[in-house]
Amino acid sequence: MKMRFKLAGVLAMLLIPAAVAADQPNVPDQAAAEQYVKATRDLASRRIFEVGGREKIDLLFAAMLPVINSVDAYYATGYKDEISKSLQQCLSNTNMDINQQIIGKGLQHVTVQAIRRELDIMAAAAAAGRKASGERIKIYFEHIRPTFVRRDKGFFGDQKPLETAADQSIQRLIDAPETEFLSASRDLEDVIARTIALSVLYEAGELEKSRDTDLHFCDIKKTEATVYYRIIQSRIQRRSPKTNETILAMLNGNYASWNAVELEKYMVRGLAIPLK
Amino acid sequence: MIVWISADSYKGAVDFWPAGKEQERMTAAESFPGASRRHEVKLTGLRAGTRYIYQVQGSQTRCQFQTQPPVNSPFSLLLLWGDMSGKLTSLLRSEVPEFVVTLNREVEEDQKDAFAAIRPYVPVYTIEGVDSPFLKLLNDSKQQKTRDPWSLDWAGLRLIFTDKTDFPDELLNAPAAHTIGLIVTPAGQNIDIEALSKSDFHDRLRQHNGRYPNSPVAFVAIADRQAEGVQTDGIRYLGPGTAGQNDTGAIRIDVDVDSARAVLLGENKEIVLKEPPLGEKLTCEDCRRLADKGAYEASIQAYLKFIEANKGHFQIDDAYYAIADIYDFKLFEFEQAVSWYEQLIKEYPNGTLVPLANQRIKHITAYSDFSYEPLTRFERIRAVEYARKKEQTSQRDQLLANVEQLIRQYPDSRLAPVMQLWLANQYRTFSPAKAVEAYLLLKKNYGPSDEAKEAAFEIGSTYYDAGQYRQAIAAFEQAMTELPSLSDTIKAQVARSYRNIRRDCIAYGCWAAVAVIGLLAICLKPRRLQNDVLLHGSVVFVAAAVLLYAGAWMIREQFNSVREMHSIVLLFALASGLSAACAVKVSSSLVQMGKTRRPLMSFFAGCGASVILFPAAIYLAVYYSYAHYLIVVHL
Repeated sequence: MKMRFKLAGVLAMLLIPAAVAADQPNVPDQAAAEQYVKATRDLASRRIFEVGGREKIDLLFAAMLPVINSVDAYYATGYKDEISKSLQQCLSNTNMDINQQIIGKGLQHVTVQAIRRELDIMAAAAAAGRKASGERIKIYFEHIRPTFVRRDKGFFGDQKPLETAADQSIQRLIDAPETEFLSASRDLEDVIARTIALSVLYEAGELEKSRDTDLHFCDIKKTEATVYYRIIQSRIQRRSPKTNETILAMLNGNYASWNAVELEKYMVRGLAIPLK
Repeated sequence: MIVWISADSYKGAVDFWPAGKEQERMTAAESFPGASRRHEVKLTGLRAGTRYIYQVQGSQTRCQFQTQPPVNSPFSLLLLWGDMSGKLTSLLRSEVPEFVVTLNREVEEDQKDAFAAIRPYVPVYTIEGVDSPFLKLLNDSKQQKTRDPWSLDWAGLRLIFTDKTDFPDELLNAPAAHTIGLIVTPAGQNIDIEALSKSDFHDRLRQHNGRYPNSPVAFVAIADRQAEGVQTDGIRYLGPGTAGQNDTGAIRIDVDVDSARAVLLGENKEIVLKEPPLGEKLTCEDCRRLADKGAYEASIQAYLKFIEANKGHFQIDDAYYAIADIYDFKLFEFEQAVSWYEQLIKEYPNGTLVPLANQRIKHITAYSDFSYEPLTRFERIRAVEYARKKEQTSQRDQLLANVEQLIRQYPDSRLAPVMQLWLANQYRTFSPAKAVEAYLLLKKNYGPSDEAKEAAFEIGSTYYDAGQYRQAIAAFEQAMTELPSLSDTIKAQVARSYRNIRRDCIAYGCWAAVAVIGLLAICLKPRRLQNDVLLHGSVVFVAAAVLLYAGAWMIREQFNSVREMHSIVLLFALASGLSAACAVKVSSSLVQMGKTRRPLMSFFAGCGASVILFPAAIYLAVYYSYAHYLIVVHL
């Protein structure tokens, strides 16, 4: 009898996530998430474009497509086309520095959107479904972890507040009871938004340092800052359209009008969280 | 206030911290003594517009709440109707509202609490007031629901809840609000939105908006109706919800200082409730606010629109000047700035801002060589980057190095001596040697310039500020030969330098006296601390402290700070106590050692030691706490 209950339990554990996923068309499963993260890592190396060749790049892009397509379909983004175009340009060695940033940062946006989608699924799912989504979030996070490490090092020295907070909130999403889901998911969204906003600030600071001397470097930094900002733009735009306009005016304006201190103020206002 | 009910009785406490800053963890406990099952913990020291995480002690669950943002900050609220209990968590996660308003009537006690899942995160209001099962349980008299109109103020938004179109005027009186919204629950009446927007009720709101354009009524939501509604005279009438029992829905309302919008969730539709000021509606104040927020380009565009739409307006000259000012001080685009200043002078030659514009043109054109390049780069460093980073040593040094590089790059520019002087003045605050070097370079390279004229005097002052008085005197004497017109000032500085040297010498003498007498007191046998010495010293210390505190309190306005008063009084009392202890020790030791047969002589010897030690210690006390007081005794 006990055995039957156990079997029923196991069956339920297997069926509930599947049922939840069935409600959400095109949700990549754990294997697709792992494949995606591995491919993004390989693609992060510049060397891959020099020695890998078109076939290798195509393979990697194909491995990422389930996640990219799913995010494009759910959030109406156009990353498949944008990343594909940049990959082609990199392969033909056209504007490599800029295009590599578009690919790298664009994929980070895809990853964050994939995490957000998993959180949406979790909000409506039963406990078992949440656990599966939590595990996928854990996998996706590995792609953006290096950004957290760099921002921790750049803004907080030896401490690791961003990476630690992200790991803790992901673990809470997986382990904590249902009552704590809102708290843990907000924590995760906050720490992602905070890290990305700090990345925008970092790139703006770098641009400010070089705007009188190296315009090509500024172009790269502008691309990085602009794609990073896309990741947090929806939250700022929704909360304060005016703040979003102001930030965009600065990011799209001439380099003389870039001001990291002002940018930080706007982002704090738009995100409603302290950054440093 | 965090409130909860527990199964067991205990004294409740709550840990809380700003989201993302667990190191700032604080704890608050219940204020009343004893254990209870009902708990109320008041959290204090909260910052506005900040998300806090809190955890009831003994529970593993962490929850969150958001404090009200400051008046000018944007925020969202959620308007719900029907049974949304299954979607609340999802909505709260995706929409992040700061509070929730439900248009449902209050739930009966025996019904399930639909908002239980989100109560630990956001406040919930019904059309009748705050919705709290806890307060209901307490049967708080203040929570007796009434059908009277009431208002809720949240960060610049005033929401008025009323079940009739006739409500007291004082609810509209909200000078601190930038937006007013009405939620009307008709309670059985059949209100036609179209008709309402043409009724006396609308006239009343319109008149209010005319009188108080800074806190206008932006929207009126009529519950139990479903309509996108109409917008009349800038007031949007809309109908969230229908009278149907099974109808459910949610609207997110986003509120900012100058705009508000309703997003019909699930329908992907947006309704503008309050339009941002544009075109002819834009005021000079709105344009200035943009600049205050740092949106300089947007502010210039707004001013241009204002000028275009308000020809002949009395503030057009202000707008010209404001545009020039932004180009001049914020964007450092000096050519544009000069052009706007000139336009102001040309079109408003008698304007009050013309002298200021002339002054700025004179200043900018004086340094317009090299196509404003040195001026632009220097001003960006001086006015923005240095002001921001001067506290961080490495970044400060880097910026100063950038200025040095700029001077090397444009040694012949008219701005070069100004930059060199600025550089020297900055070095003066932390490196006198580098400052002197910079002043000498200024003298050497830009001798005839106005900036270099007083360099010799500034070198003396640098040494003086650094406490190097002998070098200061030498430099001042050199300056005297170069700047005879400043001879009075220089002589005064030389005299001050000699005075300060004298004060230093006296201080060394006093230390020597304290050391000699202290050693004498210690070395004289018996070499242990006797009780009577300790007693006398302590009594004198306490007595002196009491007397001095009484006196100091009467003249407390004379001190620079309370801390200074405390330090002087305590140091004086310490000097008195030590002198007394020393006197007793010396005299008693002499008596015990049999050095003198006459106790009177021992007494005088002790007094002598004290007479030397006391003024020396007092001098040191004043010298180290605030040397300027020494002028009282002509030192």
